[in-house]
This record gives sequence, structure tokens and C-alpha cells, in this order.
Amino acid sequence: MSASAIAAVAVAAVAFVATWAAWAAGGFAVDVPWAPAWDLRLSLELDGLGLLYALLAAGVGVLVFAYASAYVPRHLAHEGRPRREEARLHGAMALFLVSMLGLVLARDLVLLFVFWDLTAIASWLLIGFDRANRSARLSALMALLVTTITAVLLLVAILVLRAEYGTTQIDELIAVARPGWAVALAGALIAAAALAKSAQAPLHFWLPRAMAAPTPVSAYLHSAAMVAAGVFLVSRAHPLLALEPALLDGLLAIGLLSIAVGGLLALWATDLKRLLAYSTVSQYGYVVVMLGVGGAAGAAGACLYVLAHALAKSALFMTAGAVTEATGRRELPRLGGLARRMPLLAAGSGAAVATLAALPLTLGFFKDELFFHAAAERGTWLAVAAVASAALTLAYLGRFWGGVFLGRSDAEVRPVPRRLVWPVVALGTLVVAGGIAPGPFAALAEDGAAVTAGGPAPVDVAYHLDGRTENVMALAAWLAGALLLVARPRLQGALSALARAGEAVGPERVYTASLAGLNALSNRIHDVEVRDLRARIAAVLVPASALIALGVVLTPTGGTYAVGPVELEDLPLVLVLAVGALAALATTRPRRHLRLALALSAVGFSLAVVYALLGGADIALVAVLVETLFALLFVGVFSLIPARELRREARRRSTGRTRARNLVIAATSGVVTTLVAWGAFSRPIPDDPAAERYLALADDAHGKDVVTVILADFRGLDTLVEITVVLVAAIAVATLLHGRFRA
Amino acid sequence: MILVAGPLLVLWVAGLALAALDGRRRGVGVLAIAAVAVAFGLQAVLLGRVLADGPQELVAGGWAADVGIRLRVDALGAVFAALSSGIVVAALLQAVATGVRSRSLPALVVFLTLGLSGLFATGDVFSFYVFFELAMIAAYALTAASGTAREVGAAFLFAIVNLVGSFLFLIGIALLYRATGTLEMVAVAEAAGRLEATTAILIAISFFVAFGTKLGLFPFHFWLPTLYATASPPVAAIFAGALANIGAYGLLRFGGAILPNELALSATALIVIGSVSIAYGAIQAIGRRDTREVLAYSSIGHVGYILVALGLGGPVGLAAAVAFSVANALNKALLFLSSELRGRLTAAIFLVGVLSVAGVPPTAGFFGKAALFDAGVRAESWWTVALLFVGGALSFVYVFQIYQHDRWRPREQRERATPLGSAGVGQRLAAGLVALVVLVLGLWPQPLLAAGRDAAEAIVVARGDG
Amino acid sequence: MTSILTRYVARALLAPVLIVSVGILVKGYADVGDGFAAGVVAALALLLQYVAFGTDAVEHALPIRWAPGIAIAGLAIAVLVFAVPMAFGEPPLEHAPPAGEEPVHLGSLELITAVVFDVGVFLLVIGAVGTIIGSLVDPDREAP
Repeated sequence: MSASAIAAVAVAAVAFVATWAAWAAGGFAVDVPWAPAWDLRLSLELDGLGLLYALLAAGVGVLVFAYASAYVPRHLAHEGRPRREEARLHGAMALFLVSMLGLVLARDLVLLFVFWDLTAIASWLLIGFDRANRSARLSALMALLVTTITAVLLLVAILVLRAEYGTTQIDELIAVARPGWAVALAGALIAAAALAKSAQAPLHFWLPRAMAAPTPVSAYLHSAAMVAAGVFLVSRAHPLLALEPALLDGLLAIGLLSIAVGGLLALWATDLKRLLAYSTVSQYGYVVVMLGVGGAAGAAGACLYVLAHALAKSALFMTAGAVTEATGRRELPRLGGLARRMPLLAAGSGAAVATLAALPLTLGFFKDELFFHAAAERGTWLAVAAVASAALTLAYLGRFWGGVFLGRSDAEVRPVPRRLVWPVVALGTLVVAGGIAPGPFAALAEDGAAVTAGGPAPVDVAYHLDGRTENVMALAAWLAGALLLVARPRLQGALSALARAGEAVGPERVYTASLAGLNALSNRIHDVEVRDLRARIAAVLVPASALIALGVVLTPTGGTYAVGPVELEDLPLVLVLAVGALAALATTRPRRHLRLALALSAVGFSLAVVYALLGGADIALVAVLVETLFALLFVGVFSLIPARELRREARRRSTGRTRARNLVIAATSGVVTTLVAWGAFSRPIPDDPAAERYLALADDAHGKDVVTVILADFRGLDTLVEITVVLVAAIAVATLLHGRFRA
Repeated sequence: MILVAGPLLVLWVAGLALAALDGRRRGVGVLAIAAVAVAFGLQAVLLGRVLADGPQELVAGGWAADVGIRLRVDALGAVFAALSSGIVVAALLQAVATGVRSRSLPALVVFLTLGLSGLFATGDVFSFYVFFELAMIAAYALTAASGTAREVGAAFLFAIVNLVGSFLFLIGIALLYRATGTLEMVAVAEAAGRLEATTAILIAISFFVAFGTKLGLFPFHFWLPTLYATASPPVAAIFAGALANIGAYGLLRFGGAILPNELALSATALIVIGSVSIAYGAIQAIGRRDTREVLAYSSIGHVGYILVALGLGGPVGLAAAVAFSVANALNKALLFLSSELRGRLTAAIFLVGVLSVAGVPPTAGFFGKAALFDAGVRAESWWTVALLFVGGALSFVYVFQIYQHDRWRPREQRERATPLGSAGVGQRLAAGLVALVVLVLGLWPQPLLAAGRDAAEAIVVARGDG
Repeated sequence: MTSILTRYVARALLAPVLIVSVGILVKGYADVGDGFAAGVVAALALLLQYVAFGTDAVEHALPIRWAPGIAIAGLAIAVLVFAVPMAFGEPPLEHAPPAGEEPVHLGSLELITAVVFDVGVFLLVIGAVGTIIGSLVDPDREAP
């Protein structure tokens, strides 16, 4: 075993022992402020429900991690990859375990959400462990997208509850929540997130894909982590959900749908891991149905079911891995007869199958008893559905085990390491022990169910050799299951048709089509942007103008646009402005660069004259000087460009259409700018207290020319920044042209 | 006083010294890092002081506030100042570790930081503009300094479009000054409340376009994708993580604090434009297969969220806008800084950024996203919540798609050979530090959420109605 | 090559223009003009020399190589005016001598901090424009 594998097993073992010890010592609770700004608390507490799931995550973790320590090096060797990649898998598995523990202990919903998403991240890293494999990457992405996008619903639910009740502590919420829209909305969102995580129909499709992960990952993900997290959340939030009976009915419906879809597809599938994956969808459907039934009976059934299922399902996945490792095959029709070659594995997995199919003398028997009990309590129709479900389960599990271990095949069987077998045997032993002495298991489930039910939820486990309803239902289920198993070859056609229909129009198809559609749409829009929009100033001017025009249209304009009086003494000003306007118009015409530069400076100079006429001598002086400087610089720049380039550029005529378009854009921008300026100038100048203060204080600053005092003293900071701008501009020009700026 | 003016002084002196020196020499680069780090340290202390004691201010020249220029740092400014300088420190560290090829890069980065630090600190509308211009011209120079024809082309487009934006901003300031008769922000905010609708809305729109252009908001974003995709990673990190903060801060300062009535009037328009930006950026990002191009479009989408939060308004909406902006700046800086690095540790660093952008805990981005949802839920604006959900879903698609594309495919399938072998210590340290901040804020969100809350409070107080 | 007249005018104007620019600077506090305008005037004189005499001659005659240094020095002076008061616990850019106190006169030049600041602006403008002109006229020289 590598160091990383030992570390992972050790983490799981320590977690298991610590959880057990903490419970034995009377529980464990931490509660410290986390983010007072939002009243968030780091509160973790071990209760019955947490204990059940924590022990499962850690206990199954020990066995699965031990299995992985033997499996993964072989897997890497098959693929020709270096053995050190093993550490990545063990690390992610440990993260998976820790986030499950955090999830089940968290009592603050935001904290719970953190762990909720962490489990999704861990599973993404694990499903995508074989990164070189495209289908592994796609499967990882699918699992991640389905579970994290729906997780956002959980976040919204938490925030809805926080907005309504001012807390994110689960216990406080349960205490104060009353039926109403907030609870209904939050409950529905929580259920949606949880059901997606538990791979319930119609969001079940990611789970069969997730079998792209190495087998130990599947064994863990399907039993004690990830998928279990979904039903855990429903169990945890059940008192809230129960406030709105419609939510429970919804759970019931989705659970039944998942049992049917998962069960039928499991009956159809031939790939070992795929069959088991569909079976998980179906089995968690049972749990969801029982949570939908609710009450003490439903809660008790759900908890025991999760416990029995986790033990058995991890064993079956590990069986599938060991079988494939031994024979190199994973399709049912090409397998068979392994009972003689691998007797220990056959026995262990046989116990696991028996427990899932609820045969007597296994822990699973009682889970179906409770299931039947809860269903019969709800009504006859559900009792019938429950029997049908159990029959379906028996049929596909019988097919799985029989197909692998009975009959015969030509498969060559290589020996496998003991660590691929003994975890299965251990789990098989455990479920049989549970069938004989169910007491401790029942106690565990009972403590968990009490939390879900919000009161005592007795888990009554005993064999009753009488004609009570549960027994009759069980007998009926076994009989029907056996018949179904026998009749299955004849149903193959119908099952294939169902699977094909699912592939053609099912949710998985919706997912892949949306993803492909989004990518295609993206490429199309990108082409448009690159071809037509980038590198066009119009792309900024047009929307800006449109926004301004919209603003003008939408606000009252009465009295905004005024025409002031024009008197004779304004004549010079008007003339200079007219010259400026003509010069501005002229800049739109010339093709010769020199003339363009001259027209631009004509605009500038006429503005300088305007400043002078309005009494801004300082500004006029600077304007004249700067205009001169710029005119000369323009000329200087043009002299640097080869004359041929300039002529070519000048000759380039725009075509009629772009010309018209440019004209419209330019005119619109001009008109809008004019409107803005006109609107501003139509208002009387407010008295400017600052100006008077400047004049009054100029003496204090020892200056007589107030403009200079403003620039160098009152607003010297602005000037300091502006001259820094000039320096940076010089650096920029020198760097661009010279490649350097050297002092 | 030393805390308010000190960062500016340090950066000015350092900028001057660096302008005279050859920035390609390692020692010079280290000097630049030290200067920005000192400024950052002062700003971090200032932030603590502001959060504890309220706004810190001084008037240049010791004049009265209506004559001189008042520097006034409130929680909003302090948060953005420390954030931006911190990101520049990390980016500069990576630039120097990679090896500076342009003589003037350190000086330009320091001047850019000076411009940013100044505009976050000033309480005067015009002085905001000049600092803004300083940061922008340094940015133009930074892009122009890098060289190839494609880069210079992108830089040119960047400069032209943003100059149009700056020009509109200047017009807006002129209008505001003419209408209110003052440049001092507190007085402007007071007088702006009495403006007639048309004038006020025109001013508001010109500011909006100016900051929208700066942020790269759809449809003012066309300069952004090529620029972010062609600039060197540290420069792109500075642009996306520090420079773009001008836009977010400007919208909050001018929209939230100075023109709150207009902000409220245009709430629907903001949410609509924000939504379009979210959808456009996200959909563009989905089809891209170049990490930095995805990041560029993702930036366009993410500024849409800031706008939506502003549109939701109220203390919760403004707090969400601040918290999201902070997380977003950190995310983008982190992703750009780690986008070209290879190696095991850097894959983890990049992953932190990916998770944060998607809003997956335990990262700062998660709480940024949660704050947005919280604002939508509290406003009972279910359309906005639905929009955030869809936008978030699209961002899950593109970040994880590009992560798998870039990091998981076997090397022989990747289009280009990795430019850097295994990254050097300095390069990883730069990205690692930002990743650490993102993680710490994800595990201990109190500073982020409290900063958002206090900054929003500062905005509301500045309006005078809080 | 430019005409003889141009060259004559350019040479004849150089000294007067520079004197005028210094005059604008000095008189700035009493009359129209300031350090920025003065700097631009001086820069224009410089530009005229380039136009009239060409690169080599100008670089022989005038210290154009120092332009970036002059720019940096100018900004350094202005930053000092910003910074020095802070050393005495006063706000940045605090002017000296304080209000009401009569500054020292050197002819019509008053010795106040704002004038020092303006000198910084003047030098910066000359230096920056000189740098830009220097890069424009001979972009390929000493490219690294």
C-alpha cells in the first residue's frame, strides 16, 4: 500500500472511531461565530441522523479505501500511467469523506451548503480521474453541472429562509417556521437540489455516466457519499418540508418515478456497473418515497433503508470491479460461472444482493418490511406500487448475481489480490449479521429517524411468522420478482425500446443538446462580433447615443431647451464660433492628412479666440500654445510616415453603404452631443460660491492672477497629477517609438 | 493624514525614481514591488482605521474644503484602494519573476497604481477625473509597450474607445459642475438632489457610459477581449483585477452616492443592461477554447452582475455590489496570474480561481455570489433571482469546460505547447498569494461581508439620507 | 533643407523666446500665464530649432539628450512641494510662507512654494515635449 492509500484509510478509520466515541460520550457540538455580518455560525453537532450518515461515510470509507489501495495501482498499470497518480485519487476520496462528515454535522445551512458543494467538487475530481479519456471528462462535467447548478437552488432556499426568519440555523428555523409561501418555496428548492444530488428522475442521467470513474469511486459515491447526501438533506430538512404537504406528495411522485425508471433500465442494462447505477436510482427512489410518506413510519423506513443499501451497494460495486479485474469483462452476457472460481466473492456479494432484494436473514429484509409498512399505511395504491417495486428490484438483482456467478462462460479468470475480495466479504457478513441480530442497526436507524420525524420513530425489527400485511406483501413481491426474472428475456424488446426512447428524447438528450446548442450559438455570436463589431468606434458611439436619446425622450423636457438672447456686442463671438463650426465640419471632408490636421487646429484656434473674448486670458494663452504645439507635432508625425502610405490611405474611399452608415452614425452622435450641451447651457448659471472664495483667498496665496493660483495652489494637486500624466505620456511615446525612455 | 496622503507620496516618489531607471533590471523591479507593497500596507491600515473610526480626510494645501481639493477616504474608497494595490503587488511580483522585457513597465505600473489610489481617495469630482486619466494613460502605455502588431492593434482600440469614454465622462463632469456649482463630492451630492430630471439623467448617462466602457460592459466592451487575451498575464491581471475597479467604484460612487435618484429611476434599465451583459458574456465565453479569452468574456458577464446589484439598490444591493466586485477582482487577477502556469501546485491554484469564479465554496466568489442572490431575494425580485441563476449556470458551463479543456486533456491534444515549463517560485508565489486570499475569504467571509456592508453604509451616508 | 530665412529666424528667436518663457513663468503670479504656458513656449522654440536645423545640428547645440531627465526633475520638484509640508506635520501642498506673511521678493519674483511648484511644471513640460520630439525625429536610433 502506498503512503497516500494508508493515509486515506487512516483518515476514514479515525473518523469512524472518533464519531463512535463522540456519540458514546454523549454527543459533540461546536458553535462559534463565523461571519457576524450575516449572523453565520460555525455550528457542528452530532445527532442521531448525523451519526448514521457519518458512520456510513467513515465505515464504508475504510473498506472502500482499502479496496482502492489494491485496485487503483492495477488500474493505472492497465492504462500505462505512472503510479504516483494514485495519490490524487486517495486525496480526493479523503476530501469526499471529510466533506460528507461536515455536511452531516453542519447545523448552519450556509455551512452545510459549503460541504454540499465540496462533495460535488470531490466527485467531479474523482469521476474525471481518467482525464485522458474523453468520456470520463464528459461524464465528470455532466455530474458536476447537474449537481452544482441545482445546488444553487439550495442556496436560494437558504437565503429565502434567512430573509424570512432571520437565521440560517436549522434548529431555529424548524422551531419558528410556519406554513406559508417562504417555506413552500424554500422547501421546493431544497427538494429539487436534494433530488438532483440523489440522482432522482428526471435528473438521474448523470449517475450512470458517473461510472466512468474507477470502481472504488463508484462504490463510495453510490453508497455513502454524494448520492446519500441528497436524501440526507431531505431527511435533515424534513420538518420544514412537512409543513407543506404538497411537497411531500411531490417527493412521493418523484420517488415512484425513479423506482420505475431506474428499475426498468437496470433490468435492461447489460454492463455491470451501469446496471448497478440504475439500481441506485431506483433504490434511492424507495427512500424518497418513504420520506414522501413521512411520519414516524416513513422516517424509520428511510433511515434503515439508507443503512442497508449503503452496505450492500458498495459491496456490489466492489464485486463488479473484482470480476472485471479477474476476467477483463464487464458485460453480463459474456460472464458467468464465477461462483466456483471466486467462492468468497460470490458469497459476499450474494449476501449483499439478498439484502437489497430483502430476503430473510439479511438486514435488508427489515428495510422492506418498514417500506411495506409505510406504504400500506398511506393507501392501497401505494402498497401495490411498493410490491411492484420490490419485485422489480428482486428481478434485476437476481439477474446481476445469477449472470455473474451462475451458468458458465469461456472467460479466463486471473487471480485478484485479496484486498479486492475481503471488503466485499466483510460487508456481506455485516448484512447477514444484521439479519440475525438487527438490534444495533435498528437502534442506529431509530436515532436517525427521530430527527427526521421530529419525534420518536420506532424501528420495529423482528421476524413475525404470521399473515400480517407486510409479510403478505413480501411474499407477493418475491413471487412476482421471480416471475419477472424468468420472463425477462421476452421483455428485452420492450425494455430496449424504453431505453432507446430515453436516449432519443430523455433528459440526458436535453442536456447534451443544450450544451452543444450553447456552444454553437456562442461560436455564431463570436463570429459576428469579430467580423462586424470589434475595431469600430461606432460600436461605442451608437449605444451611447441611443442611451442619451432615450434619457432625453423619457424625461420631461419642458423648458429644458431655451434660446437665449443674441445681442450686437456678441457679434464677434458668434463669428468666431461660426468659423469654429465650419472648421469642425471641414474636418469631415479632407482625405489629405495635412489638411485634416490643419482643419483640426483651426477648430482649436477658434476656440482659443472664444476663451479670449470671454475673458479667459490664461486659458486662451494655453489653448493657443497647445494648438500650435499639436499642429506641429501632427505635421512631424506625418513626415515620419512614408508618403506612399499616406497617399494610399488617403485614396482609400469607403463604399456607398459604409459611407452612408458612417454619415448616419456621425450625425447622430453630433446631434445627441449638441442636445446634451444645449440642455446644459439652457440653464441659468448657478452662483458659484467657489469662484468668489478663490478670488477672496488669492491674496492669502500671495498671487494676483487667480487662475495661476488655482492651478498652482488651490488645486495644485490636480496640476501635479496632470503633469504626471504628461510625463507618462512622454514615457509612452518614447517607449512606443524608441523602445525606451532613458533619463 | 500620513495614511491618506502617504500611499500617494510613496508611489509618486517611486514612480519618479523608476522612470529614471532601467526596469528590466531585477533590482529595479524589486524596488517597484516594494513601493507598491508599502502603499498597499498603508492602505490596508487605512482601511482598518476607516472601518473603526469612519472616513479619514485632509485638504491639500490646508485650505477649506470648498477651495482646496479634499481627499476623503470612506469605507468604499478604502476597500477598493487596498484591493487594487494588493492585486498590483501580486501582478508585479509575477511580472518581475517572469522577467520584465520593457524598460518602463515598473514605472508605468507604479503610476497606474498611483492613479487608482488617488481616485479611490479623492473627494473631489475633478480630481477624480485627473487621477482616472493618469491610471488610463499608464494603462495605454502599458499595452503599447508590449510590442507585437496584434498587441499594438488591441492597445490602439483600447485607447481610442476608452478615450471616447473619458471624453463623455469629462462632459458629464462639466455638466455637473455647471449645474451644481461645486466639485466637492459631498456638496455635489447635496446639490444634485435638486437638479431637474433631464439634466440629471444626462449627467448620469454620460457617467454610466464612461464607467461602462471602463468596466467592459456590453455593448461597450469591444476593446476588451483581444486586449485581455493578448496582454501578458500580469498586465491582464492588473487590468481585470485593478483597473476595472474604476468602473465598479465609479458606478457605486457616482451612481450610488452622488446621483441616487437617477440610479433609482434607471433601476430597470440597469437590470436590463446588466442582464444582457451577463447573457452575452457568458454565451460568448462558452464557445471559446482559449483560457484567457474565456476569462475576458467572463469579465464582461460578471460586470453585468454589479449592474444588477446596483439596480436592486438599497443597502443590501449596494453591499452585494461591493462584495461581488471585490471577489470578482480577486478572481480575475488570480485566474490571469495562473492561466499560463503549469505544474501540480499551480493547477490547484488555478482551480481555486475557477471555483471562485463559478461561485463554489469555499472561496470568496461563493460569498460574492451569495450576496447577489441575497439582494435579489430580499428585494423579492424573482426575475432577478432567476436571471442570476441562469447566468450562474452558464458560468458553471464555461469555467469547468475550459478548465477540463485546458488542464485535463492529454498534452498531445492541446493546440499549443505550454509556453512556460514548470513555473518559477516567484510566479507561483504571486498567484498563490491571491489564491490564499480567495480561500481565506471563502473560509472566513466576515471581512468580505463586513466590508460590503460598511461600504454600502458609506454610500448611503454620503447621500445624506442614511 | 529649410530656407536660409527660416534658419535665421529660428536662431534669432531662440534666446528671446526662452527669455519670454521664463518671463511668463516669473510673472505668472501677477499676470497672464503660468509654468505650463511657459514650458510650452520654450518647447515651441525647441521644435522650431528642429524644423530649421535638423536633428544632428540641434542635438549638437542643445542638451536634448537630457530631456527625460529634465522632465523627471521637474516632476520631482513638484512632488517635493507636495511632500515637504508633510514632514512638518502639515497637509501636503501646504504653501509657505503662510497667509498674511510677506514673502521674500527678488525683483518681481516672489519666493513662495507655488512658484517653486510652477518651476517644476515648467521643467516637466519642456522635458516631456523634448522627449516626445526626440523620439519622433529619430525613432530608430539606439533601438534596443
